[in-house]
Amino acid sequence: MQLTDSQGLPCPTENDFITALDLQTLAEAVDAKVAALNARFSVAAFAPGAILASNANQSVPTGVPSVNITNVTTQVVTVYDTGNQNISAGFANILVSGIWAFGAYANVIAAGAVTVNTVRQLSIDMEIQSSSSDVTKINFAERVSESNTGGEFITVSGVMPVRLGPGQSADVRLGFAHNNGTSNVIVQSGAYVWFYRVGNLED
Amino acid sequence: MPATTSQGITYPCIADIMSAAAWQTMVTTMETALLATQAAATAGLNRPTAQLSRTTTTQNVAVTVATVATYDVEDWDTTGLANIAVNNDRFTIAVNGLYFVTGDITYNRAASTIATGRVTFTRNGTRFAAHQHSEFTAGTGNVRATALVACVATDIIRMEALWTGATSPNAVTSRFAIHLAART
Repeated sequence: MQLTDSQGLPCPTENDFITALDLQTLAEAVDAKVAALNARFSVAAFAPGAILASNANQSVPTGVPSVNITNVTTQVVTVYDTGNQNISAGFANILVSGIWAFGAYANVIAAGAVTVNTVRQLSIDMEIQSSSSDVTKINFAERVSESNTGGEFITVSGVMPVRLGPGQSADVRLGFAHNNGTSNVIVQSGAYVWFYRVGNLED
Repeated sequence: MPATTSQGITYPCIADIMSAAAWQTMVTTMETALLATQAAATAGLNRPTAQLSRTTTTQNVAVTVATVATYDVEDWDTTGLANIAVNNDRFTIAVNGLYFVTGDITYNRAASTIATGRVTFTRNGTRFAAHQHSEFTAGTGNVRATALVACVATDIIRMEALWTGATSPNAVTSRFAIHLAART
């Protein structure tokens, strides 16, 4: 009995006497290969991904440079989690390295007077926490101007690599900042951050 | 008595009589297992995706009226997410999953004074994301949004245009695309 070159499947040589056990061995070898392929295709189709949304308004004070709405754990619910993120109340924790797509959405309305053309900035903040407490921070944002027409609607998205070493994970959070001069700005309920794994790292 | 593996491959046991029929059964069940794997590979590699557009004709949008965008071209549609001959304003979901949605509306600044322009995405008529610009004094009148949304089969995904300003209506063009990011 010999093995095929690429897949290691058992096959007889010219001098072998074939028995039922040989067929069983071949069947089990093929079965293992098929099961492994199916598992890989399933992982590809059911890629890790999640959507985390707020379920209550949050008031963001004037002059606060960045506010993480997911700090308020009671205001956050998991809308969807396809697995592997270790989602907990308040933040998403990515455990798998790879190329990931991220995005966020928020409707923001001034609580009181509006300072026209002031900044409304929505951001996605990712922190990679290592066992030595070193933190790698990645941030990208979308900034619009307040039009004083009942609030602003902001989406932001991007793709970036998540490189995790042993014992590391990445926290993904939604940030909002503004410089409205005369009142707080309310991040309306339903703001959300999303992400899903696009593929493997190049290396 | 033949036995069967987890993937449905039937093989003769050691006490069974070796025969061409037993061999044939094993090969046939192997082929069935491989066909299922090939189908899984095809589904995994060819995720549903489509894009609709309206770029050579325009759609009139009245000021301050949220208007569902309509399209006259299917740029691509791999799995029947759209059928503009029946409904020219939507994607209809067939496979449960997380869907990446992107779209843009181009407002005509030459014809109207655009104070704000907005793109809104809806699922079954309810907004799940939107993006608004207010700086239309220079540059293009294009507003683009991207979002991820969890969908189940029969959900309807649409895009709306909304603007404020003067000289209504505004003749807009648009593009609207979707792809399955992850099955659920």
